[in-house]
Amino acid sequence: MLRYTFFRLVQAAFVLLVMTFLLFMLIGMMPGDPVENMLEGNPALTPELARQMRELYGVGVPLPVRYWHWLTAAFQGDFGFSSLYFRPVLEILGPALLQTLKLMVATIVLSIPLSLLLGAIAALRPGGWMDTAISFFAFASISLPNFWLSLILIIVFAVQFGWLPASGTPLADNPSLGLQIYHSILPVTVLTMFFVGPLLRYVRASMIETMSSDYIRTARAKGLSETTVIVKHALRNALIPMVTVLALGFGMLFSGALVVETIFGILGMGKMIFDAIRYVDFNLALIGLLLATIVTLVSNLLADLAYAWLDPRITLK
Amino acid sequence: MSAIDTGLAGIPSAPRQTIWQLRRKRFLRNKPAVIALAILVTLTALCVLAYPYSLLMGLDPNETNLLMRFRPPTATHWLGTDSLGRDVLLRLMYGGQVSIAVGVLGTLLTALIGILIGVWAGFLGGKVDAFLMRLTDVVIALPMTPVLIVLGAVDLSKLGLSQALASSPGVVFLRIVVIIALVDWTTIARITRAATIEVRQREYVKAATVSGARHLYNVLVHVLPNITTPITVAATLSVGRIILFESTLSFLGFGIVPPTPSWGNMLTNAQELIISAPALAVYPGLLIFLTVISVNFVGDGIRIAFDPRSEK
Repeated sequence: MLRYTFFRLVQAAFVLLVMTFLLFMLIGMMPGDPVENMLEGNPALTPELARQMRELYGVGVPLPVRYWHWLTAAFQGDFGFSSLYFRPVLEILGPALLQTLKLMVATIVLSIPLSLLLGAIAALRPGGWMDTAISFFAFASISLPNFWLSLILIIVFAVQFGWLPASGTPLADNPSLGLQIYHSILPVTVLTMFFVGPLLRYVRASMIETMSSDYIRTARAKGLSETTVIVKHALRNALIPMVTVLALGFGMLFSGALVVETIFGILGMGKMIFDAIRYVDFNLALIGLLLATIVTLVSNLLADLAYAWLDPRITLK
Repeated sequence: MSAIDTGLAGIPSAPRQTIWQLRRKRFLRNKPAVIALAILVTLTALCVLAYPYSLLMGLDPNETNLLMRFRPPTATHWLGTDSLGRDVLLRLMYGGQVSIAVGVLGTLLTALIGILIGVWAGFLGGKVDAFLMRLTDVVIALPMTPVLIVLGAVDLSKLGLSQALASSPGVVFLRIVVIIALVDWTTIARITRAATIEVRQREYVKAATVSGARHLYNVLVHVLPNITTPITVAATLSVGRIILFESTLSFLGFGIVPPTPSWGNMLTNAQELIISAPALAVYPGLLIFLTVISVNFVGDGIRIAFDPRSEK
């Protein structure tokens, strides 16, 4: 297990290194000129320093050479300046990551019980009307464009009824928790709607399979009540594979968060990456995308480890 | 075609009908799937009629008229006009052509990449397989939308294309298809690999191999015809996903660029107009939703119809 973990960590580090190169190349092919962007972003640069930087990075220097400069600096903890925020990129990263994590945690906390409940109800009588209704809901969930759902919710709840704010960020300087939650209702609803569908389809399929297994028949034969059988025996076992789905869903949720943050004006990772790419903030886009990759890589690794830990039949090698 | 599934067609429960008749019967019994297919055919037909409709009504999808902004529905403009005075219905029809075409072409390219990688990995096994599957894992682990945006932001003129060519509608369209396929092939690759491994171990492939058949021959003659079912199912289900990708990218401004309409980019400015013209924010999204959910229901119907276990 320890050896496996170590192997996976090395592999993840390698993948990350390859990703830095690929992303650097891609971002380097965005419109605009990186040196110019960097100069714009750092007001402290005098023309003399600017000349030196041009020499150092060299506009005519091919991308791979620039990548090498970036990589050596990055290993010393220098990820450069943001041309959009006029600050070192690392200073912008922390608060943005926190915002996104808040959104994602709220979504996951809501989605898990909801998908368990709906999935279990649907699995009780496959083909029944409840199952049909819940399956339709799941299809709707995976088919809804989340940017459109955001717009519709804003039109209905913010514009027409005026019940909820259209912005995901409170205007106050130090908003109370209540105010933060109030502003998060619409964005979290959109993300939950987007996340519940795949999860509940998984729970349903897993429950139907579990319900026909021998130990469920044994539990019933022992005379246990149907609730005990479903909650204590079936649902618990159906939960194990869900760890993997959750982790894979993490990347999906991150993608969803980008759209939702952009529409609701939440200064999270998604909006940061979006703005960085739109305004060609070379350094910020790169670090944002790398961090997003790290988050998904780590969640996948944790999922595999948790899977082995929860299910004694699985051994990792 | 019948050669593909002779093993199944021979089972006693299905006398005197081919596997395709059986599948069609199963699909037609699935009410939601049939309704969804009808919706899909209708929507596609309506979108295809965009050009005749524009001639009939004397409208142009890109002609702006600032005196005609935000008109309510009239006899000429059935769904009214948008912020630049263009006919909304006509733009929805043209936009639908773009969205559906991206969905179909994107799926074909996705399937092509996925099948190549899946068959290669599954048939050769060993180190090649391990490498390709790790590659698949990595692509799956990528944050999809951010990566698509970066790919969408790449300036093609820096890759050697002339400025005019790089921004021509045809190139912009193809680029969306290509970048979506670049990130979406993983599902089909995994399914293809699993199916290939299963077929590779069958007796007749082994027999062919000992008789001196080359890999390419085996793949073309034995493997590919026998793995069409799972690939068809997976491909149908990816159409919806690809349409969603395209609309999201176009909405964010990194996909189909105006004045070419797409259901996604028709919503780009909708946020500023939700107070003055909320209807403009409703139609395109509703059409995306309707199309994607229909495709998904049809895909599910095909999956059930193709599954030998679903016969009751």
